[in-house]
Amino acid sequence: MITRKYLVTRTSYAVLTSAIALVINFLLPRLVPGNPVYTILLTKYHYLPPNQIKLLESEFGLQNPNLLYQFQRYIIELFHGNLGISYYYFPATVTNVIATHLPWTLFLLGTATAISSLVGVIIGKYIGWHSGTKGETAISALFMGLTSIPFFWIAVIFQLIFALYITHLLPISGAYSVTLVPSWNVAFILSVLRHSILPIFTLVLVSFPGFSLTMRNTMVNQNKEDYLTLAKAKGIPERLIVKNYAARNAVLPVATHIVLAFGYVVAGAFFVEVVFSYPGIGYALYVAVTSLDYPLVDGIFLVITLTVIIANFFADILYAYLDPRVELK
Amino acid sequence: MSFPILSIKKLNTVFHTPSGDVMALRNLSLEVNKGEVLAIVGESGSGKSTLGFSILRLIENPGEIISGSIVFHSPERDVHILDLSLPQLREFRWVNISMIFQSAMNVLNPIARIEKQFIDTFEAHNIEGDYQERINKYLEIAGLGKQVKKMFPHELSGGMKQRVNIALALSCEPSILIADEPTTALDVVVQKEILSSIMRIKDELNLTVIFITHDLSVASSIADRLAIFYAGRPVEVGSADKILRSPQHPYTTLLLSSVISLNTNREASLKTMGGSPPDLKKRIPGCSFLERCPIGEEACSTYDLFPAKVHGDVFVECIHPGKLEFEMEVNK
Ligand SMILES: Nc1ncnc2c1ncn2[C@@H]1O[C@H](COP(=O)(O)OP(=O)(O)OP(=O)(O)O)[C@@H](O)[C@H]1O
Ligand SMILES: [Mg+2]
Repeated sequence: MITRKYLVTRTSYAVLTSAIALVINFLLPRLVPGNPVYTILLTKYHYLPPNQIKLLESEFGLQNPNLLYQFQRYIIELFHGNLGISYYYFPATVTNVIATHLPWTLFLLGTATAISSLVGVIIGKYIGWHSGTKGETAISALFMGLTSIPFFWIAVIFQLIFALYITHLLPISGAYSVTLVPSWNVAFILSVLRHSILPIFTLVLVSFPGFSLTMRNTMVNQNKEDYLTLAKAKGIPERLIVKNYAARNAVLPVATHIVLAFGYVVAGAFFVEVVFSYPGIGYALYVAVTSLDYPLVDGIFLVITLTVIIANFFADILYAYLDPRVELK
Repeated sequence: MSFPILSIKKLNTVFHTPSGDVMALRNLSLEVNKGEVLAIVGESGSGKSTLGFSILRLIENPGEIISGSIVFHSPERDVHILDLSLPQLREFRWVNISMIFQSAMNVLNPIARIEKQFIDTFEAHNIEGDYQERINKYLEIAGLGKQVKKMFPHELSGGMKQRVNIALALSCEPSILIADEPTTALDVVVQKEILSSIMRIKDELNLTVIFITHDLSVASSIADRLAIFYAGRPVEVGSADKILRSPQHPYTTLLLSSVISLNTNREASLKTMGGSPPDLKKRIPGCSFLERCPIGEEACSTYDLFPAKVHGDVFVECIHPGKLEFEMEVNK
């Protein structure tokens, strides 16, 4: 049950963790030795022009090395949506780079997580209810194997298959056909969908078996629950016992698992985007890391952290909505 | 004249465990008469719950009903419960025989409002009429207010949950109510209230009640007939008055004397029961109570289990019915 008190505590948790994330995000790069201004100028001009140093130092707010002063500036800039300037995409701002890449990732991750949790829960419910049968044992073993396959391996296999053997069936890189201009027309949307099939399929394939197995285990445990005995005694049809009694209770811990796994899927998205050259935040991170684009790395980490915090917040709300007992805990 | 509403014949229920099969019910035969309160009394592990579960065919892995018959006599026809197909069984349950479970604290679906747990039962049996009115009625019979409908199980106290279970068990107006230790988890005051509400409802609804308890004093306060269970069999069955006045089986005698000595608090001059029940994984030759019986003898170990009829309608499984009781009376 979602009560006001619950909402308030959850929100304050989310705010508190975000604040901590901000501080860490601020401190970490400053603990790294070296001067970003010198780094930029050296990569650009191969020597240090004094007037440029002053200019860039004030641009980056480094003329005053006091940490508190810098933190204050950092927060103010952040609230103005300013995360600095990307080295690699110079002169684009980090905010800009993130804004163009994040939607692709959200689309990829959102669709993949929705599909894999739905498929995972449904299959898990089914095999959990029929646990102990030969079919169930075989499926569980198969899934156990699938969960241990790394994302990039599947991604690479798909690349090979669709590049070498079944060519031209599905695109293996990019988010849309390069011949198209992004706009809300049918051709473009179809192109986006076609390009997303392999990355999404990869993400789903690696994450749904885990959800299935969790759901299977919680379903199996339902058999020992006394409320299932009462449901049978009451003459409730089996279909409804599975749905309203067993699965409804079994899905509660799975909901948490799905959210916890979200971080894992984010990591997976990184590999998948890199392998499929998908212009999401993971791909941007890859570019940023390989080109030592510190501000961008920093900004992306911040966004990922905040995404996970927000996802957790919504998971808590969802959990409370599903389980009337939560307010007591 | 009394007519049987439920006849159980030669019922064998086992639990397959890694260390062997537990014979929880051993060739059990028992009749329940229409409109009576039959109390099943016995110590822990004697098979009382197993009987309740067997009647509703709720025995699940690793348990199994391996043989026997259970017949429900309705005015229209006889229903052979063990022969029902699964869909027939589903339709049969609850509208004919319902049950209050021993684990009453955990039998309600934790994520559904109380109301919903009534409604899905009504829907499962295509019951017609105003559901809300019906729920209100049975909640009230069980001593609860309407507001309970909208609550979740975790918002109820133990006593309230138990009352919800009673209301649920009655709500489809069954002929037989199996009440498995319905008051054991509750404090004495609530226990009394619940017992009296069950008794009141019983008369109002013309119910037959199978009341399972380990507490002979509770049983004696409400039962018309008693079935004393020992090691998966009823060793003495008959009218409560007669059994309480003059128990025939040594086990009943000892059980009763411990209740009396507790109640009057006088020095237990009577023999107490030592030992423990036999291992149900082994075949028990002859009388199962022999090891603990003060009057047991050689012949008991080859005694072919068979309920002998003694005075009136009391059946006893003992070579020397009434002997221990007689000896104890003499020694007083
Ligand atoms: N699931 C099970 N697995 C194995 N053995 C079982 C199982 N359920 C019951 N038994 C065994 O069956 C026998 C009868 O148990 P039952 O629960 O019917 O006893 P009871 O008379 O209801 O006892 P209590 O008063 O403690 O409720 C016991 O020996 C018990 O160990
Ligand atoms: Mg029991």
